[in-house]
Amino acid sequence: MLCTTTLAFLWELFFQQKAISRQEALAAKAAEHLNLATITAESLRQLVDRAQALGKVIQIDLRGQEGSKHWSLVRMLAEDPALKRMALYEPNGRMLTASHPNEPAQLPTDALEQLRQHIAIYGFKPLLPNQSLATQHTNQPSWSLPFLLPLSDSTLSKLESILLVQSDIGYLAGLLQHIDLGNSGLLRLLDSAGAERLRVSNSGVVMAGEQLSPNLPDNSELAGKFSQYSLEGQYQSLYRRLPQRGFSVTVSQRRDEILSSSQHIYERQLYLNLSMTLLILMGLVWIWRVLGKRQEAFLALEQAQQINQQLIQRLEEEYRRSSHAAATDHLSGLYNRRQFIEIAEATLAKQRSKRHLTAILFIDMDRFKSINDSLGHKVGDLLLQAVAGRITHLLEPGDEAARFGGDEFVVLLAGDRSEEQIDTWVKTLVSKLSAVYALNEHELNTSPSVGVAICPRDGQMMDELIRYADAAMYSAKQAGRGQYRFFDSSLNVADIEEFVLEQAFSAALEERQFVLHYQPQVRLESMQVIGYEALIRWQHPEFGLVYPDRFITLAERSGFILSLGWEVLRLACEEMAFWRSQGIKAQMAVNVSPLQLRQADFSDRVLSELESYGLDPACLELEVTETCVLDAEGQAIEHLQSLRKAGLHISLDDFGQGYAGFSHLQMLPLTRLKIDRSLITKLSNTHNDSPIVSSTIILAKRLGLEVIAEGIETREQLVYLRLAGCDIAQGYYFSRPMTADQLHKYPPFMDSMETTCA
Amino acid sequence: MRVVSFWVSWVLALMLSSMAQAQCTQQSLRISVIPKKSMEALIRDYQPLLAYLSNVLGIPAEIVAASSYESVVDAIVSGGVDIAFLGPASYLLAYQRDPHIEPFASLTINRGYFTPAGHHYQALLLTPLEQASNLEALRNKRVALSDPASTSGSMVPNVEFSAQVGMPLTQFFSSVVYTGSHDKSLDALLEGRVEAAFVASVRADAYLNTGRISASTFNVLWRSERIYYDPYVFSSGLCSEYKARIRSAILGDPQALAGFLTSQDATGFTSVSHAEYEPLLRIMQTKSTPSMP
Repeated sequence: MLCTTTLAFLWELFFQQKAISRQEALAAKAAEHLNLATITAESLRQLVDRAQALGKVIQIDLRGQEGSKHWSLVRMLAEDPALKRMALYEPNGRMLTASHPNEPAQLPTDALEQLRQHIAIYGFKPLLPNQSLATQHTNQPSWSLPFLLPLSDSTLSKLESILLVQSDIGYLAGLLQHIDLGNSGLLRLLDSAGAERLRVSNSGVVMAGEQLSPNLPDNSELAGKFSQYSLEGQYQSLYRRLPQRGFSVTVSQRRDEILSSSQHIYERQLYLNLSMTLLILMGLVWIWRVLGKRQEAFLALEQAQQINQQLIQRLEEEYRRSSHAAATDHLSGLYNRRQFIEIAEATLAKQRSKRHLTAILFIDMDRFKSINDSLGHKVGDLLLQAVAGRITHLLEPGDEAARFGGDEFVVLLAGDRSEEQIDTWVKTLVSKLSAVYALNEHELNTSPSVGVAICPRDGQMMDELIRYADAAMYSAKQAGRGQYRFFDSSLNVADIEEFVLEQAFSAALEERQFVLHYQPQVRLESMQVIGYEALIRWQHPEFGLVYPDRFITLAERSGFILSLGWEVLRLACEEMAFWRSQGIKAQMAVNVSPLQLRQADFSDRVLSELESYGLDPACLELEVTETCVLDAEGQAIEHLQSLRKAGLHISLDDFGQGYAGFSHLQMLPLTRLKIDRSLITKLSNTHNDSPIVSSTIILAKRLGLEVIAEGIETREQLVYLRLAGCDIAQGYYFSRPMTADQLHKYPPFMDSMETTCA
Repeated sequence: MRVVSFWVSWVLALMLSSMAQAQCTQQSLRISVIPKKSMEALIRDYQPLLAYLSNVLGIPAEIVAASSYESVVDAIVSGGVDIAFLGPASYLLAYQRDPHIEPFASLTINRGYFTPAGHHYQALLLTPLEQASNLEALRNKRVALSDPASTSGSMVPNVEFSAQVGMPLTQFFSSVVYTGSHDKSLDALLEGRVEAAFVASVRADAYLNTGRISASTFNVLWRSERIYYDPYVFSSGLCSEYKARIRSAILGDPQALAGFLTSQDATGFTSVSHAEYEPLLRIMQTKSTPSMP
C-alpha cells in the first residue's frame, strides 16, 4: 500500500513537472521568436520606408537624366548594402528610367492591380508585390527582393510614379547570420498571398526546403502563434504581419528541438524514476518471497507435526485395537481381566445406585500347576475350559465372569442377593467345581479356593474389591483345599491369620524375619545372567515361609509397607555389598511401593543408603508400577528423575496390566519396561503370535527402552520373545527365586565375575 | 545608421557635383570584391592593393563592401565600381548584361592539397569523413551552396553535378542552403548544420593552410571540371588610360604586391581575357536546371 502510494506520487510529480517545464520551454521560445519576427519585420519596413522617402528625391534625378548614366546613383547603390537596383515607372507601368540595364520595361498588370488595391487601403505605402519582378539573366535563383514604392504628387492625392527597388537578399541574410535560430529554426518572409519569398536558417538562405503547412492563419491578427508540420515533425511558429507593407515574417522551430534540453533532463529523471520503481518493486518481491518462504517452512513444520501426530495416533490406535481384540480370553471364552474390569465397574455402579449388594469372587484352582506339569498343557487347557464352562453355567443374568490368567477366575455376582444367598451361591460353586472332571480319558479331581469381597461392605472400588477378594482367596487356600473365605473376617467363620500377621509385623521387622529371594534375569542375546530380582519372603516362625501376596496388601493397608520397603532396600544393599566383596557386580532389582514414592525424602534416602554401603548406583534397579506415577502429583516422577540422574535404573513393572498408554511413558525416566506375566502366560496358551506382546516390544524400543519379560515358563515363550526382540527374560524356565545360600552356589552367579551393572 | 549616412552623403554629392563622365576625370578608384569570405577580412586583405593603385594613379582608391555576388555584378555593370574581382560565373553574368566590361588579370594560385597550381581551380563536393563515402549516401541530405552567383559554390554544381546525377540539386538533396560565402559553407559543414557543401577548392585549401581542417577531415565525393580562376574586371566606364596604367602596374611588377598575393594564396598575377571564360559561358547557356522557390 505504502509502495503504491510512493510510486503514484513519484510518477504524478514526474509527469506534472514534465508538462509544466515543456509548457514553459515552449512559451519562452515563443516569446523569443515573436520578438525576432517583430524586429525583422520592423527593420524591413523601415528599410523600404526610408527608400520611399528618398525615392521622392531620386525620381527628380532619374527623370532629369532619362536614358543617360546616373553616376551618383549607381555609385550610391554600389555602396549601399541593402538596395541593389532602382527603376522608375509611370503609373501605367511603363518604365521611365533605371539605374541598371535589364530592368523590366513594363510592370506586370497583376503587380499594378495589387499596388492599386494596396494604395486604396493603406495609402501610398511601399509594397512587396506577389511576384519576383526581376529579369532573370540566367537560370540562377533571383537574389533580390523587389519592393514597389508608390510616389505621389505634392498634394498626396494622385499616384505620380512607381519606384521599383530591388533589395539584396544577401543583406537580409547577413542581418540574421549571427542569430542562433537553432538547428531547425527558420525565419521566413511571406508575401500577402502567403507565398514564401525568403527562408533563412542558421546556415543561410534555404532553397527548396521542406514545405511547412498549414499556411499563416487567415485572420486579421497582426501577431500570433500556430503549429505547422513538415515531414520532420511539428513546428512552433510565431508570426508578425505587416499588411500595410504586404508581407509577414514567421519564425519557426521544431518542438522537439525546443524541448530537447528539458527532454534531456527529464530522460535522466525518467531513468531515475524507473530505477527507483524497479528498486521498490524488487524490494516488494523480495519481502513477498521471504514471507512466502517463512509461510512455507511454517506449513512444512505443521505438516510434519501432523504426520507425527498421526503416526502416534495410529500406533496407539493399533495398540488399543489389538488390545481390544484380546478383550476376551479365547481359551475360556470368558472376559479377560481388562475387559472384565471395564464391564464390572459399570455393573458395580448400577448395583450401588440400586443399593444392591455386589460380590466379587476370586477363584484359584488348587493343584492346577501340578496337573499342568504332569498331564501337559493340553489337559490343563481342557481343565480350564471345563472350569469356565461350569462357572458360566451357574451365572444368572447380570452376573459376569472372567479369567484373569493362569488358573485364576473372577466372578461378579449382581442382582439383588442377600449375604446368605451369596454364601449359598459360593458354596454351590465350590461343590460344582470340586466335582470330578472327565477330560480326554483323564478323570481329574481338583477343587477351587475362593475369596469373596462384598460391595459396599468391603470397599467401593472395583480394584480394591478384586484385591480383597484375592486376599480372601489366599486365606481360603491357606485354610486348605476347596475352601472359600469372605474378606470381611467377621463373615469368615474362622480365619485369624491375617490379623495375626498384621500384629506380627513390627516384631518380624525387629527380628529380621524378612528375607530376600533372588530370581535371575537373563539377557536373551547372550543368554547370560545379568542381574537378579529381589523378592521378599517372610520367614514366619509359626506359618513358615509366607509369600508377599499374603502380607503386602496388609502392609499397605496398615502403612507398614514403608518400613518394609526400607528393610528390603537395606537387605538388598547388604547382599550387594557381599557380592562386591566376592567381586561380583550383578544388578539388583528391587520393587518399590507407590506409598514409598510419595515420601518427600525417598530419593535422598535411597542414595544415602547406597552411599553408606559404598555401592555403585548403576547396580540398583527400582521396579515401579504404573500406579506409582499415575496418581502422584509429580513428586514420584521427580524422585525417579533425580534417581535416574544419579545412575539408577528404573523399570516399569507389570506393564500391560493397566491402562498406561505409550504417550504417557514418554514423561517417565525409564530404562526398562517389564511386560506383565499375564501377557507372557498367554504365549504358552496359544501358538499364535501375540500382537500385544510384539507391538509392546516395538513401541518400547521406539521409546528407547529395554524390554524385560517375566514369568517365562516354557521354551516356546522364550523363542517367541527372542524373535519379537525382547532383551531380557526372567522366570521358572531359567530358575525359581533362590535363597541367598542357593544363590551363592548358583553356577551363573559364581561365573558372573565379569558382568557389570551397565 | 550606416544606410542613412550613405543616403545623406549621396544626396549632398548629388547637389554639389555635376555628373562626371569625361576621360579620366574621376576623383577616386572604386573596387568591389565578391564576398568569397567575410567582407571584413577581404577589406583587410585588399588594403595593400588599394594603397598600391592609389599610388600608381594618384587618386584615392577605396573598396566598396558588397552583400552578395549579385550586388558586385550590379555595381560593375552599372559603373558603380571601376574594378571588380569577380568569380568566373559572376563575370559572365555581368558580361551578359554589359559586354563592354573587360577582364584583365587573374591570380596565379599556389598549389594546394585540393587545388592544382596555376590558373585553374575546381568545385568540390565535401562531406565529413564519417558522414558518407559515396555520393548515394548523400541523397536526401542537406547541402550548402555559397551564393547563387558563385561559380564553384552554385553555378557549376547546379549545371555539372545536376547533369551527372540526372536531377536538379533540389531533388537530389533534401534541402539546399545558400550560406552567402564559401567560408560560411565550410563552417556550416564543420558545425554539422549541413551534411555536404559545394565549395571552391581554393577556399578548402585556405582552411587547410590555416589549420581549421586537416587533410582527412573531409571526403571529396565530387570534383567539377577545371575552372579558370577569378578575373579582375574593368567596368566599361573606366577610362582607357587608367585601364592601361592599372594593367601594367599589376601585371608588370608582381613583387610590389607580394604581401597581397600571400594573403590570396597566390604567387602572382596573370593576364586574362574573355576567351578564358568562354567555355564556361557555353556551359551556362546550354544547360539549365534550377529554380527559385
